[in-house]
Amino acid sequence: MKRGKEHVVTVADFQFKLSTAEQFEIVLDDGFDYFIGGNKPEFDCTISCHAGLDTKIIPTTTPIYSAKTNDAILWQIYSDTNGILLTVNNPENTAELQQIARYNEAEKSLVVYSEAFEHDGKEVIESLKYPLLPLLLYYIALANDGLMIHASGVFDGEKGRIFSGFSGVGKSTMAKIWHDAGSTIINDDRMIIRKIEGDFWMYNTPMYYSDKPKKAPLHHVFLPFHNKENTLEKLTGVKAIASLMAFCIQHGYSAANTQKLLDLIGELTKKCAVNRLGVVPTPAIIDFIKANE
Amino acid sequence: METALIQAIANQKPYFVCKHTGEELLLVPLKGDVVDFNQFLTMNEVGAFIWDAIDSNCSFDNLVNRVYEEYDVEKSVIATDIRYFLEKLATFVTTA
Repeated sequence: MKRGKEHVVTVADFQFKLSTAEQFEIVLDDGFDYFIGGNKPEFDCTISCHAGLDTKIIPTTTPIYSAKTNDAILWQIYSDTNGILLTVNNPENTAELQQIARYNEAEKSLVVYSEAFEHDGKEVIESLKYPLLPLLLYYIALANDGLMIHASGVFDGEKGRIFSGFSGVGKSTMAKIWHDAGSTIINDDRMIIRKIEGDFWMYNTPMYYSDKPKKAPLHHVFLPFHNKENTLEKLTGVKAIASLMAFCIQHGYSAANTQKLLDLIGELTKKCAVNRLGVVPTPAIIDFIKANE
Repeated sequence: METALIQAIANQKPYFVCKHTGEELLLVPLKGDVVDFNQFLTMNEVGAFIWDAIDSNCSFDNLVNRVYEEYDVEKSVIATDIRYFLEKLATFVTTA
């Protein structure tokens, strides 16, 4: 864990500054190791970190969005004076409130409240403890022609490809097959895609394990499924957009954000071919893809 | 009956986001997480035309006339097709 009163973190070329004016230090887990640092003149978000969870600041109104798994609430979003307020529960014990965060998109600021705890004999706060960073990245990405997607991504030195789908479709398996053939795995689970000067780029984000920041140009999108033979169906128009949208991370309470996401996916599907890919998970899939994409 | 269907669709329109691509239209419900292709509705050019034309002040006859002016098909055929389309569309937008 990295510890300090101030950190600069860069993820997907977005630069964040975390700081605290309190006596506690801010810790970042090992997943951030290589993401610490940055040299852009401006920050995409300044994050003010505080100790203590003052539940009185949580609005008494109904949340505008609740993320749930089965009956457990993972996190909720409320309308707030100058933006949104997020309440985030501990994913390992959803009865425990982990963070309260106020996000002001116009001011590019996030204020995070979390309980202090002892680490190596010092009282510290872990303001960006999972899943708050991915939640923040969702908003930062959307505001900057970007999106978050469930996908693995590989780069063979010439072309970037993502394999998108939910657990069990073979995202990690595909990444490993390409890696064994010499490609670089950008990430095998969750990615940020950004449109920069008309081109699309894929990025990894901090995970629970330590990995270096990676980015690569994106050329092809595949939606894999297990099959008895390798097959490829090119998707176009609204079918391509709808198929890809299903695997993007969405907080669909906002018409403006959903429209932004749809428009970006529309541009992405025009620039990068979207293919439904039946897969037999052997190295032969690489030649099959290269011959048919 | 048609009036009720049009009204039901018009009432639900704010809860959908649209994406026009070429002559097709994609309807995405405003809900937390759209994770299933079945939660979307795609429409062809005529479906998109009707969707765009529907509002709370729109009558069935008005809808038929607008489609007739645009596509020049027999009115009785248009009326039958639109009635069927409205039933399907109303079911989708009220249950998505």
